Amino acid sequence: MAGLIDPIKRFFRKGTFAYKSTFAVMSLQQYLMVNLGAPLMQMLCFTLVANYVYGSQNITTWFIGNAVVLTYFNAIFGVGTHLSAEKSFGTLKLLIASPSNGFNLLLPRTLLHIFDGILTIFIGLIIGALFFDFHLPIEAWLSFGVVLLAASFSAMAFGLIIASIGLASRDLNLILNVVSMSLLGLTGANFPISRLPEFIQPISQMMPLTRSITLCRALYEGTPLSENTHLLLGEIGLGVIFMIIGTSLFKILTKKSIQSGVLEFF
Amino acid sequence: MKNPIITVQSLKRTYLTHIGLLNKEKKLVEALKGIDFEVYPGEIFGLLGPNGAGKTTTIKILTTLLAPSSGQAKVFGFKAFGEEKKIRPRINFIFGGERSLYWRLSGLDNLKYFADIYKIPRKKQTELIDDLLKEVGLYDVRKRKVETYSKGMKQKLQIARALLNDPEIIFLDEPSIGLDPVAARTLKNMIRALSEKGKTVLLTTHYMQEAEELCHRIAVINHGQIIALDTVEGLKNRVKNEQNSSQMPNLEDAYIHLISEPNIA
Repeated sequence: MAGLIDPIKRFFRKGTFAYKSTFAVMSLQQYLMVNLGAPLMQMLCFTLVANYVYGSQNITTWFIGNAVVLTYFNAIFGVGTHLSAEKSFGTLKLLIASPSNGFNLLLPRTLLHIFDGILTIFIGLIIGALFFDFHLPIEAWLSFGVVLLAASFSAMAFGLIIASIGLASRDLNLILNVVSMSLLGLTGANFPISRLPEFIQPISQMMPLTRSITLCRALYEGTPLSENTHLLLGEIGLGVIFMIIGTSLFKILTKKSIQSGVLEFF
Repeated sequence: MKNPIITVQSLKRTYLTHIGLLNKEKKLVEALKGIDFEVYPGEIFGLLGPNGAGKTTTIKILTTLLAPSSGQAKVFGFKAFGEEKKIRPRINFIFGGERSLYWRLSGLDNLKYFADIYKIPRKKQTELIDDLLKEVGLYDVRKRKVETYSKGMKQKLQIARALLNDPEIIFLDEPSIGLDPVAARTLKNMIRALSEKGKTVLLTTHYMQEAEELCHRIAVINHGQIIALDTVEGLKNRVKNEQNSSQMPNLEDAYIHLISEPNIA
């Protein structure tokens, strides 16, 4: 039994230490200012712009989109920067040359970010309840929670791809900004996907959070989750695909970096 | 005669660099120009040379972090690039300086994290980590964040980290850089103790006294080539003979003479 439980415990410990070592807040003030303040202010900004553009009748729809998309902060700036942070700490080489590699090194790193992402969205929803007339029937909360878990999972898995690209890139910030702006613009959080140019619409469907935003809006409007399970499964499936791509990319780029001698360049 | 634990044959490593923005000019830099040496089990093997000579490149290749351009680098008889999975669990390494630790975590948490990375069972972890912390003298400060540690304490923690998986070979790349004399002496004693336990140590250093005190054999590397390989006494004798001197030089004099020799083949 211990042989089975030990790897599970190890998985959670690795996730906790990786989070604490690279992303964790050092104090409550820092958490409120950085981990919560910045994303929530952004949510307020885009929701108020949407309120101005679309009129106050539609505000909740755009608020929901902006609340769900908040999880990208953890995905892009948390999970996405993990490996480049390891480079700057000088610890990447220790991880690469250890017996833990690939999947069992990367997957635990998403763990606390998934929950941190959900917490950020949850606080965003409380703000929505206070200022944007967001009220979800009590019976819909469980479904809402399931969707947020799926959303956060696929976003963090997407972050793994960005993290792996960080192995080969000297300027990850450029990539982080392009990707985060793409998520804001193409997932339907701030702009209807149907009004995007036709050639961009398939890209929206390949992005994390697009389905979750649609699902959350549907739940808010009273459509039960059972009628949209294909969207939920789509989001989870996308997360699994991102995870496979991220891990494969990590292996390929690690090998490439070892060959070209740029493993520790940052 | 024991079989070598590390074998390096005709090892070359080149880097391709680009100069310019529009009219990019490619430049090939030869970091290693075909070096050969062997290291035997339980030996403290020194790799000395000026900055940019190829010491770190050699260590990176042997620790599976850099692929050779040509030639062979074998550890335990396995290729350092291509069979690295068979090597990694049995080695560990320390690169000098204060990096390579998680400053936001305590010393204890750093070791717990790496123990998990090395898949050491939880049951063994507590005793192992406590023993290592006591061995390097950090037990009393184990719960302090690493960012509050001095350079010497960080280096001691690195040693504890490198011993977690009970490696057969430890690679030390300038481990005493920036350490005060007391911390440097402690480090030397630790390296000596490792050798007495049967561990093989490959050490690079700029401190000749350290090399003289510790190393069983030394390879002097310059411009990517090994220009001398012998015991400390052997190197000194060679220089004494070349200089036709009646006085035996110390290792520092011998080293400076060797790296100043022109037209090394």
